[in-house]
Amino acid sequence: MSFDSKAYLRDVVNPLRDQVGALPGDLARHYGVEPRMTGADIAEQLDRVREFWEQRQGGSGAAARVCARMLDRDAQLRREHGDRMHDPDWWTDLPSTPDEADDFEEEEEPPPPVSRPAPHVERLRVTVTAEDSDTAIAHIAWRTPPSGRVSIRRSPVPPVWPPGATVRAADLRAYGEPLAGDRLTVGPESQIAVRVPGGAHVYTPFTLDDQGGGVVGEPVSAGVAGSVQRLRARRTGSEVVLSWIWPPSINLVDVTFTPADGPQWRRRMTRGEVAEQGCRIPAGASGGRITVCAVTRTRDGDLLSAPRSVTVEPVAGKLAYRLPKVGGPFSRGRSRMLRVTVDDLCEGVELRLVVALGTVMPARPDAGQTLLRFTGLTLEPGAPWEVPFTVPRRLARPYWLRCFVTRPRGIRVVDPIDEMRVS
Amino acid sequence: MNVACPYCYERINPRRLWFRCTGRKAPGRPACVPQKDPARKELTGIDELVLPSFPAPGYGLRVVNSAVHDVCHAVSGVKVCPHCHSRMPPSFGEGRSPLIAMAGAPHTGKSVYLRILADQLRHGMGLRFGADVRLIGDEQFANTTGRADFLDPAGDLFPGGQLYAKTQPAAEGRRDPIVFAWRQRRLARYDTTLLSFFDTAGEDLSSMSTVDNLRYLGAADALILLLDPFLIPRARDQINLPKSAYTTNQSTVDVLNRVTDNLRESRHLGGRKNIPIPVAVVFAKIDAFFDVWGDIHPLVQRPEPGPYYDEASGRTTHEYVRSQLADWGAHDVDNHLAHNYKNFRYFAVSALGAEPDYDNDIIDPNGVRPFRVDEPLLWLLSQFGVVPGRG
Repeated sequence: MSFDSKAYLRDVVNPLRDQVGALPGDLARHYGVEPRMTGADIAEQLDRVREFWEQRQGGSGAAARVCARMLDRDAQLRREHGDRMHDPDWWTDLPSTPDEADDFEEEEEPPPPVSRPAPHVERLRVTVTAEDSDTAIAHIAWRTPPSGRVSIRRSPVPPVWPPGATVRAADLRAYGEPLAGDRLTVGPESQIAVRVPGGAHVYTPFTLDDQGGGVVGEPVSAGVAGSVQRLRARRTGSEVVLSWIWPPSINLVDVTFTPADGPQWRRRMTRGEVAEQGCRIPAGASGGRITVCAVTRTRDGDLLSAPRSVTVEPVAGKLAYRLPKVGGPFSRGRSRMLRVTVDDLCEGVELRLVVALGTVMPARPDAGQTLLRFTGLTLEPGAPWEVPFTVPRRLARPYWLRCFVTRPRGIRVVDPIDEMRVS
Repeated sequence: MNVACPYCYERINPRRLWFRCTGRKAPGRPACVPQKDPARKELTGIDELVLPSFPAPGYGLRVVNSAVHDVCHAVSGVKVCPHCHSRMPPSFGEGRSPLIAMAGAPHTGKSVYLRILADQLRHGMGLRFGADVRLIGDEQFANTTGRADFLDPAGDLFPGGQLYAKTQPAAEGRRDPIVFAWRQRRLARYDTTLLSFFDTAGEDLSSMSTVDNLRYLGAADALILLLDPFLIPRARDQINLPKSAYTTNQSTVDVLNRVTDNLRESRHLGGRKNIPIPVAVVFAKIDAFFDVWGDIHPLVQRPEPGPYYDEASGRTTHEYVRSQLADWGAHDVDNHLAHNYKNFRYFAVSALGAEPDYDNDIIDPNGVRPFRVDEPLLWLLSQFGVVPGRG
């Protein structure tokens, strides 16, 4: 078999150039699969058409965008159906003509009311996935009724008719808008995927009759959860406190912290939990990215909003020091040792040991007199760095000793408060 | 052991409580009916009809849990204060019941702090300490919020994001307290500690004449003294504050002086002795300095919470705040406290965790993120042996 790329471009791709949302039309036609093809023919055809899409999607223009979308959908179909797509039977269940695929179009003139009701769709499965802040993709599935065609309509409000009621064509057309998209038949189910605006919508199936009216199915309310706004992160030591503005009517979020190194931290929190305890993430010293998704729970699963993210900077290592007395009783506590430990390798460290007379700890290095100063130190974890020193006799008690790390910046210093004051 | 009534602040013997008639009918006797109670009106200002209160016979050191009203002969187990006849919890007097006063200058954020603290007491503190913490009186909140939200566990802390209006000055030195019962198992028995908080209007402290009327300061077993760092000029200079964030130029040490004088006079201490009650000196709104200090500043760190008060962390915070005060040129605050109080400790907290809209009294749209607001109370409770200290 040969693949006529020009004819394919003219007959299949070009008519789809102006389509927004899911690609309408016959799936078999999009792939160039014909009813008489064998399994081997179909496999070969799929390879060629995929190759064509691959080549064209890298270009510019509307045809490239159509091919890219074809590839996206193809990837999804391959994930879901795999090699079954090579089976001619798989293709026979698909709508065979464009007219059938476009079965959501309503007739212009309302037909007279029907007298014999068709079976209605009892349960619709709707899963909405945020695409960006304004749009989403709704994946809709329903059990294919034994007779009649099904049209799904989207509306901000539920229908006034109860499930099972018969609706005239004019009334049906006045309610919401029909969803148009590629229809797949998978076993006993029919499925479509369409792009929809953000927010919550009511999806209602109608089993259409010959006159354009239909039997109302059971509506389902679904939508993309609104995203959290103004996501903020503040580090308070080893934990990060998150805050955000909740979207209206959302009470659940998924919080994910992905550190630069180490395992991901994930937690689902309610609005009440956040109000009571705050959203605190045990980030430790590492930095990373925090993502928050608002969640709406439905009977068909969770709807996640578009994620909001914030980056958390890592903190430099922790430096602890001690000031134990090392002299005998005659030293009167003046002979001491400065013992420094770190939890991570620190290079180019500059230390200043400062003494300040009085009862108040010096807040800054220049608030006291420098006793010791070291530069260019390399401190390694597990290897305490020590230096003895003596406080001059002329300094009368009480006084404070405090070690400052002036370089590198960002090191967290743990002061031994109980050893720093000499009184 | 005398304890202060959490409603009228009079010292009472918990083994000599009075009882209130239940209004039930005893055989052959007419039931008591509600009537005016002049003592209750005088001490609490509440002028409503109540069933009569009566003293119970004493039984030495035993706590009396019920008594027979000699008028109607009905038995009552409803305990009331012998002075103001306010109803007491059944477990009153079985444990320490410290009266914790709260004081501060106007606009320090006392009401907001107390509201957040009360919220933390009700949510999480019980779980953390294995205690049953229950609100048993919130007349003040009820008055300021219309009783709409505070008793509702699901209610918003700040409905509509609105902060409170300024607390009205106390009428004749009295305002209803907020009372919590903290019930916890200790050794082989259960102890109930009543925590009674009073939120003064800042104006009460702005002149000596009204300070004299604040009887509760004299009855207090402990004090939470809330100070506003925005009133320290060198602190204020470090941050960008709207003018509406501080509406007074009152000096912090002036506020301290007034509280100290009142405590001295009410306790007849004169000038030779220092004030013995523990005082938690709390610098509020500390989140305003987070950006200036940076993430690694010790006062921006939050200690790991546990079923204890972290004494080591508390000492460390105390010294850092003292050091910060010196850096801000506010040595006089520390000098005053060191020379007038036996036992005080500094704290740096933020009730809201983020700057509110001061012009419109609206909280940050991201909500409240309280920062270390529980520590002053936990320190005081550790001083009374209600919670253990560690470190």
